[in-house]
Amino acid sequence: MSPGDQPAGAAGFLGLNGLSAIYRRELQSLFLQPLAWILLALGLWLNGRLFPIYLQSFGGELRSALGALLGQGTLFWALMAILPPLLTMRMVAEEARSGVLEFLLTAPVSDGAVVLGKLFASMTFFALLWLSAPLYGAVLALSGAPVDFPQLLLAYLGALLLSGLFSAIGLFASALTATPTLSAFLAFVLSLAFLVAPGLIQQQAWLDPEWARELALKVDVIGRYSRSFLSGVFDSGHVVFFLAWTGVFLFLAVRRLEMQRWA
Amino acid sequence: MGLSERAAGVGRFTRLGLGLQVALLVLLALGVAVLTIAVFDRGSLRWRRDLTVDRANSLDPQTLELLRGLPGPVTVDLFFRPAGRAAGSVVARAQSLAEDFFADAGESAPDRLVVHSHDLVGDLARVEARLDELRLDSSTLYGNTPYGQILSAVAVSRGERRTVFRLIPDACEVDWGDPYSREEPRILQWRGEEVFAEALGQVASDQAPKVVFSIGQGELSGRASDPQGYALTRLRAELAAEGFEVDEWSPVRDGPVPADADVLAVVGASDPFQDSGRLALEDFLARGGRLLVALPMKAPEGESELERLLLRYGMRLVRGLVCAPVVDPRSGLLQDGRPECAELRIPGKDTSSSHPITRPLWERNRDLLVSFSRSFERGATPEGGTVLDLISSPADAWRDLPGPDGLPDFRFEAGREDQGRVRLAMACEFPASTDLKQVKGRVVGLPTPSFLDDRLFDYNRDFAINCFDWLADRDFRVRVAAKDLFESKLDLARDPGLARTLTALGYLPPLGALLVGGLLFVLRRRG
Repeated sequence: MSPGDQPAGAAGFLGLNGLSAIYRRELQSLFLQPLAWILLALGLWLNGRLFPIYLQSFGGELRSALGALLGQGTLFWALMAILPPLLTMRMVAEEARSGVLEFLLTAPVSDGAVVLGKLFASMTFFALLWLSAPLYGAVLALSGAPVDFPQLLLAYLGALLLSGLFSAIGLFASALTATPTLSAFLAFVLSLAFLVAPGLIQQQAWLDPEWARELALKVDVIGRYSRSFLSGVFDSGHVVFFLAWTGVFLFLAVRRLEMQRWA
Repeated sequence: MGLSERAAGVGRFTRLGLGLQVALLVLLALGVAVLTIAVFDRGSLRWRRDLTVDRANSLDPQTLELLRGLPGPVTVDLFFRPAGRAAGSVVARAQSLAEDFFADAGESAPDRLVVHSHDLVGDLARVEARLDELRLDSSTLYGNTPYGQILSAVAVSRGERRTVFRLIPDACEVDWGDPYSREEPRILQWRGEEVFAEALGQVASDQAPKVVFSIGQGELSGRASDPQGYALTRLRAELAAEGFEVDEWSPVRDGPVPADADVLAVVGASDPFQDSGRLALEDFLARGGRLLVALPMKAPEGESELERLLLRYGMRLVRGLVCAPVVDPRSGLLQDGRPECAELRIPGKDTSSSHPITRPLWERNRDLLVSFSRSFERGATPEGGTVLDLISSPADAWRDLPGPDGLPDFRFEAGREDQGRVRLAMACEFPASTDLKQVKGRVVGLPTPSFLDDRLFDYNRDFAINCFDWLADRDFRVRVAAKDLFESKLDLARDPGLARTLTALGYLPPLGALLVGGLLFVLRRRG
């Protein structure tokens, strides 16, 4: 069952009419383009090249090497800041420029379903990309290596949630402009700002340290991901954190689409 | 006003209104997100489960129970600074272990624990302000290592109470390696959780045992610091911060030892006690009182009443300054005949491994410094009591007897003086008077006040505090069960098949992605 497949009644109740159709359409347009496959192959190749290096540098420690693929290494965060903007830049901006969006907005689908369908399609791409880590774990486990699967699968789930957040940022940026390149740039800057914000906030001397700490905690993507999913800890507080910020950017993207509908 | 001007004005206001609406909407959305996160971060609404095979991110149930039972939030301040090259890697590892541990602890009890990590390189003003708040001297933060002092300390505080431990040597057992054989230092054991649990016990306890310092017999002052450091200012401040109530007692002015005194300390009394004072001490001990006696540096003529008192509890003071040869910095050879011989460095391994006062020092091989000390010999053990040695001198020490001029010459004279280990601190536990047999009295005897005074307090702080903890019957030790660590190591060098698997894993998935993508592209082109 695809993420967008919901009983029509439930989708309708949530105001998400046509979510499944939008999801399928986005999936087709995404995976019928060479860009998605090139990005996927590039990401998988980089992961494949780095995994033995991580393994070597951690002295053969498999848990740490797999963790490095899913968040402890710099590459993961670089991919997280670069790939979602590239993937989502066309999703709204290109459609607005080509006039498809106008057609879509007049169709019997809600704005929420349009945005959510696009988000699920983007997350499907990332589900494939990050699958390399559980795949390595499974293959090595078959050859007798001890693998901490609960931790690995939780890290994978966290990477998916994280990809959802950055894709939502990309979708919001894409809804802001009709130029895909500008949208990608905006999304990249926003994603980067999100990643460095906690450090910047805590460096502000004019802020009360306690306030700064609390505020930084509210936007601390890396810290929360590392302390929960990556460490193998399921923490409802951190799940809510990712869902809340994803929700904010989706909400803003939907409002922007609404503005376009009435413009 | 013309029609076009009015229209332009309306357009401007409409745009401004729309802009404000959008800004408000964005702010509202951000506010809702922050509020939702804050609500679900609260302990009562939060559900946390460690899914790792070895529960690597879980605290020991005892520590968790302590944390959740805290009457209010406890603050943990991490004062970490990178160390120099020689000890750098091991210090960085210890700091990383501590940061991970406190992150887990903070996540396990979010309403009970607040963790602050301080920037000791870039933001010294803020660090100093925090140290002032905690009433902490920066020298307390340093730990001694063979590579010099390192700054890696953790302050645990709740309200007015606080305690400090150093990562090295308190929380980590370290093998310092061998620079000649290029053997790197490494951490043998991480004891952070145990030490933290002890610290929690200390700050969480609402007990405030009363320590009374005797005054009026030439004791070391506890108020104004002596320019040379012969004072108890730091000890008294530290005891107050550790949760003791500190007071003074003058036998002449106050008569008997106050009934609410848990511990009486007589430190460096150089003048004799009057009969009333002596009787008050004897009565206090007969009731099962707890007494710490640090004899004065300068020996009075004849046997003092404090020496006679200690003898009743199995501690016989022996004349002669305890000296040990020192290394001459120029020749590198051991030398005697210098006053520095009376400054002794006692390795932690020369303390008792079985007594609660010295066990932590022994476990962490914590050095002590002592100067111009005499020593004890064992006397008769009080009936029903036990006497234990706490600290011994180095094996090459001797008791330096005064020369014809009555002064020590710091030179070992075979035949006249004996060489070997001597006792530098002793403790006795004994039953109280006949009608209070179940009450146990305790005495700690020190042949010098240098264990407690301001000059050497940085070295002897833990020993001093441990003495008062034992005397006041405060024991916060928690045994944390060892974890079965999940080993997930791959032997890369010995398994050639593994290298082939890794190469295949590196190339097959991206090739597969390219193939599928290419196939779809071709199929689409063909319609």
